[in-house]
Amino acid sequence: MALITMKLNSMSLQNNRLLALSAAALALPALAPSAQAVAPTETVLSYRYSQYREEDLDRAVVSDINVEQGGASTHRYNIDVNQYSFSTPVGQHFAMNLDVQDETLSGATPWGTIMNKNGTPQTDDDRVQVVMSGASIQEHRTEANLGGTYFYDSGTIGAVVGTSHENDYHSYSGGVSWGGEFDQKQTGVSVGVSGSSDTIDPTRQTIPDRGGWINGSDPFSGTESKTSFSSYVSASRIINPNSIIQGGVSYTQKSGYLSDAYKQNDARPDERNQYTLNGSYRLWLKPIKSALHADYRLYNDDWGVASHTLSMALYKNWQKLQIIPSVRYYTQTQADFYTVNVNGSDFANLYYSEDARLSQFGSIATGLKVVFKQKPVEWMLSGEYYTSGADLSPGTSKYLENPGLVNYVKVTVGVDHRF
Amino acid sequence: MKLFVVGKVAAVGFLLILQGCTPVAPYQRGNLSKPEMAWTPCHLDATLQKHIYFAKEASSGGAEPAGGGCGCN
Repeated sequence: MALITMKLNSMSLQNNRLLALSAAALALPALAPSAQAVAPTETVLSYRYSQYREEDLDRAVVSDINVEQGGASTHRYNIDVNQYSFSTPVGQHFAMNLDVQDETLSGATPWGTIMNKNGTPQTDDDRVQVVMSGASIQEHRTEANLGGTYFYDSGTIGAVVGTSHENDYHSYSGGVSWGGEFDQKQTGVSVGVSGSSDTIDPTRQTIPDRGGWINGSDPFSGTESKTSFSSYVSASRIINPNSIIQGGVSYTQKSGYLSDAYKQNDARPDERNQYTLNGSYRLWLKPIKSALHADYRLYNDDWGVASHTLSMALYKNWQKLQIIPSVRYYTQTQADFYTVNVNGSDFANLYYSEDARLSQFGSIATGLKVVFKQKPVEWMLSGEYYTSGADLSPGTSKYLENPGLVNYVKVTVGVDHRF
Repeated sequence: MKLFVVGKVAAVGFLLILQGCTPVAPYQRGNLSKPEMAWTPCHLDATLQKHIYFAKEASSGGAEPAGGGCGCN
């Protein structure tokens, strides 16, 4: 590109090209993790509609307990999601965006697990069973986030406030971030802090025989609350004209009511400290006009959960189409207080949970997204299949799997319009 | 302790990568500035994806602001 530029005979054309490339360089994604380093010049209006469908459970792993309460359902959640986004420049150095997400949920959810008649599982035929709620749960969630970013010569300053409301759950959040550029804009540093305050008022009358109730020590006593504080630092660096790398660390502290009020036997610590180490890499593959994405996250917390997440995607451009296949692998260890079947002796412990999400398991998500670009509009269609299981995590076995783990399919259609 | 060791290895690796970096002039950054080279090319899709994983797995967080929601189901 440099040679081409140098060979241009027209001085004005040369200057125009250099200006264009300089502007492109200023918009490097590395210089801020989630915002451009120059103020956007276009207003963008976006819409997405997603259908999320969880697979039915195998009838053999669903307990007959709770049939009279409308339970024993093999159905899981269906969720319809509408997303709206509006982003626009305000003057030369400022931009704002508003995101709204509206979800409608229906279906059944696991309340807990129970041993089958054969007792402690030893083989795939002895698997524990899951106690399901009735299939009549209906929920509605609306989330809105308003953000603003100030752009100056060598960096950005951003702020966001958000709120999320469900029938029984209310959350208010906010955060600020700063991104700076150094070394002729080849190195970027970003820091941010955010916090949230949540309250939950569950409709617990639908959940019989919580373990805590039996022992007179129900951890839930009306409206409960929790707070979280999160901070991160990341740095990025251009490696060469076709690749860039980013690394970062984050720390999150949650405190308050951290149990799941919709499980029969669930008592968790009232504090959780979470740590992550992130790495991301972007490589432009010139021969096939594609961008390769690779992302990794190492996670650890003081509940005993550690996890690895590896994601890969290829953004392949083909005329007006962009085709994006992707794959994600995730594996985690179980929480210290997780047990596959809480019984009398567990109630003597301070903490216990049968939640599948605290068990040891792994998951694989595969996706495909197609974008059709016809300026000023971009249409998109995407699908994702997610499957999880104990046998996808090294060191555990299928017969120890919590049957509350989920498989799902998600399909999304959407449109972006630029003004 | 294990995480600490992994963190140190990652930090050393990151520094080694930086050592191998060559200066890239602004006019050489055309490919790096393409929208599909962004860390998060579509924030709307990423927001929903992050929320779903948050509701299905025990891990969350990263080098970005935290989101909201119960994640109970």
